[in-house]
Amino acid sequence: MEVGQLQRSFVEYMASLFREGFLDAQFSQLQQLQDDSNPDFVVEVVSLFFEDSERLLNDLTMALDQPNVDFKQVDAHVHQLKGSSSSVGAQRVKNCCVPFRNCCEEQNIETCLRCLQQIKQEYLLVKNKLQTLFELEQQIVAAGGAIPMVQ
Amino acid sequence: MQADSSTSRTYGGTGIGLSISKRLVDLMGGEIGFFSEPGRGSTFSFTAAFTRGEEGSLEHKWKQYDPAFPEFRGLRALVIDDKSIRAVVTKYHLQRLGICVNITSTMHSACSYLSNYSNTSALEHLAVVFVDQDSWDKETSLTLSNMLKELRTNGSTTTLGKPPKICLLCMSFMEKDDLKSAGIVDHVLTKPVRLSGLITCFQEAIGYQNKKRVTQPSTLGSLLTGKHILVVDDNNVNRRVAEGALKKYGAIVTCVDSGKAALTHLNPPHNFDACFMDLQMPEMDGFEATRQIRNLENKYNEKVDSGALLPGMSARVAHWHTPILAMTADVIQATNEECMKCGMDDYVSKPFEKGQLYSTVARFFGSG
Repeated sequence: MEVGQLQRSFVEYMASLFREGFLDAQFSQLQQLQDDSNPDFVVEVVSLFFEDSERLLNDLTMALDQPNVDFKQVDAHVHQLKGSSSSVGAQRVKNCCVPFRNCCEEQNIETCLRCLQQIKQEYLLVKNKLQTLFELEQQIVAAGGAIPMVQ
Repeated sequence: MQADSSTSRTYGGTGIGLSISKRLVDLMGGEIGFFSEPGRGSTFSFTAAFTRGEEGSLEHKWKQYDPAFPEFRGLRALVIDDKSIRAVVTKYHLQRLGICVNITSTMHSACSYLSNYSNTSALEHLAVVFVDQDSWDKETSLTLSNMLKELRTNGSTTTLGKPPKICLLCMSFMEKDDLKSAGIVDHVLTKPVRLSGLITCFQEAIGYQNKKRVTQPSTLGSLLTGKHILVVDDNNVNRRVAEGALKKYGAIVTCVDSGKAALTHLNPPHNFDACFMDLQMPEMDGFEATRQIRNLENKYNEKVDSGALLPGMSARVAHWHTPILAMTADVIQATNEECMKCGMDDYVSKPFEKGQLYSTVARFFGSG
């Protein structure tokens, strides 16, 4: 595919991610922080986010699997997830966290498990989307083009 | 409800002052009352409930407030105002800046004062004469203006080297423009008089040269460049993002992941200009960490004050108080008293929002 086409696909893809609520303004902020002195900032932060989230989701799964669930611990994990998803602009993941915390407060295992299920789904979706986005970037660069700035 | 509205017509005002005062007093857990005699006047009073302040909290408040203008110390001002209580209030503001104040009720008596003390040291450091518009008397004003100019030319030694300025205190700027352009009034301040207005007035009087301060707009970059900032957050994604944002504006950032580590880094003396502190962290949260840091700072300050410790490398800082800003996604929690009680200076939202970051940071690093 030639560069122009790749760039157009990139712009459209990015726009769709915002439109569909996968990403919010905070992600744009991250993009703005990237510059020559910090060329891989976005990829770096997002990678940290992936690592962090997967660890937290595992911890959540284990915590909810205990005979005596420690809801405080579960809530603490969700709080962490809310913070990091908020910092990278992963809006849909962040939005799952509030109802999750309510379920923790109500100490309801059923609803907690359903929240966990949902948040896992949203996480995998956004991970997939972001990875696709980064691949597109790499293709553009490989084809000798510049990555378009999307407002 | 006012008996008649002639007062408002003569002196201005919207007539809702009493309602506002009542509301404020209600909020302070008190009651407002008044005693009034037709044709004579009214006296207003109120009660309010206060709690005992924490030891050292006044110091903390004054530290934030104190504009530290050593160049004003020893200067003198004359306040011409026939309303004695109002004059005393103006005097109070001036004294906060270290200025000595005399009060007189008319321009005429001011002229007498000046001629009586003209060859004495009393008028040596007279920098500004404040005149309330109610006391302004056009005829006497020229006499006063000339007398002030003569003060400096009759050989009296003075640190100022120039005549005292005349500053008019009035309700709106528009009114006395003609006086200003006639060269009689040097400066106009609108009432209620604010500290910042008085400061500007005095700075002009002593020929403060640093215009740059006032006119140059500043940005986050100009505020943060070169500043050493400590970021404390147990979440590595948040740390990285906060660091990225601050570095973008030129700050030199160090990140730590716990309250304990923050203590180590902020134990005086140190190099940090400010700290952004996450509130919810395991083991030691932001509140506790801040409490302990303030404790360390107080102990250190005591040692310096008592002479047990020589300021040494920390000589650049007379009194340790590192600005600590809470980072929180939950603003309600942050505006909670606990934040202020444990010694935090302010809070910012997490993730950073540029406008809020700027206005908060500007408080501590000045504006250019």
